Amino acid sequence: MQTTIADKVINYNEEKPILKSWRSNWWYSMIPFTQSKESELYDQSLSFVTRIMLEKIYAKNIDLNRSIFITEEKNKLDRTLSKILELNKLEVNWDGYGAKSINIDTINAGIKFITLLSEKLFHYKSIKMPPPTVSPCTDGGIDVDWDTEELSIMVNIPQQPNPIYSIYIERGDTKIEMEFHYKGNIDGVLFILSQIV
Amino acid sequence: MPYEAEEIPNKDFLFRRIHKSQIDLVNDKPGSGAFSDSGDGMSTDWDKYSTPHETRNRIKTNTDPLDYGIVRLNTGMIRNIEDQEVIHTPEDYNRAHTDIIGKKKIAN
Repeated sequence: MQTTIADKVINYNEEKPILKSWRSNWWYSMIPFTQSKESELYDQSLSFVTRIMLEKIYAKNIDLNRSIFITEEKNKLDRTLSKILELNKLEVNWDGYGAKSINIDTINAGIKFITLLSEKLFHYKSIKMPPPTVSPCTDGGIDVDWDTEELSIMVNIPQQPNPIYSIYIERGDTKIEMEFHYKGNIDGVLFILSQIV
Repeated sequence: MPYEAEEIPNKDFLFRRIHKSQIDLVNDKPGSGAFSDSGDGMSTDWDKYSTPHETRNRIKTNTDPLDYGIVRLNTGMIRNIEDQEVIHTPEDYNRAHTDIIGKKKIAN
């Protein structure tokens, strides 16, 4: 008999303070997915169509002359960006709590922001961050989390065409949370980062 | 007949359904988007009136229940978070329904 997600919660008693989420740390226990679902999710080899789409996105957003970024960092981002593209498949109420769907403009905005910030961090601040975690929000936006032991950066890409983005940065005891009007330029974000990194 | 709201003790737990798209399986944790409000708050189920199975299966859409995981949150720990309140808000079809009310991030 297959063990289900819910079966596993019953014997899972330890609370772990793992997730830094915006202004708070949420203490939680997570019940893993069933093995079959894990296998399905991990097997996210990129389709040919997805690869073509990503190549076009990179060509628009990243200086192709910067071959170091292209060869090393781009590969790390592929899986993250392909996951964002998949969010377009979510239908209204995909979470069972009444969530909005993620429109294609929001997905494009997320991809552009991630590639741009990753590239800028890599070239101008010499910061190598792991590929971010992306998660859809119930309001139709997308949360993007970069998380290391030293530095956490969270950005909320709002449902487009809303231009007001939110950002939360935490490094040690320094915590900054603010909104900014995004017009395709992230110099303001980099300036904030330069103050604490 | 509608259920009456009750005070939830700090020692009790809440279950929240998380869609697979909100999980970072590489690091085995949910992304921050998993903790966001719908309407007046973030919906959960009180473990006094719900099991993880019931929370997972209480999906109003035709999606596969196995596409969802369950996170378990301690009520007292949530109340320790700035600006967060735990309010039992039973519904006719779900006596366990509980809202976590308070801004989850600056924008909402």
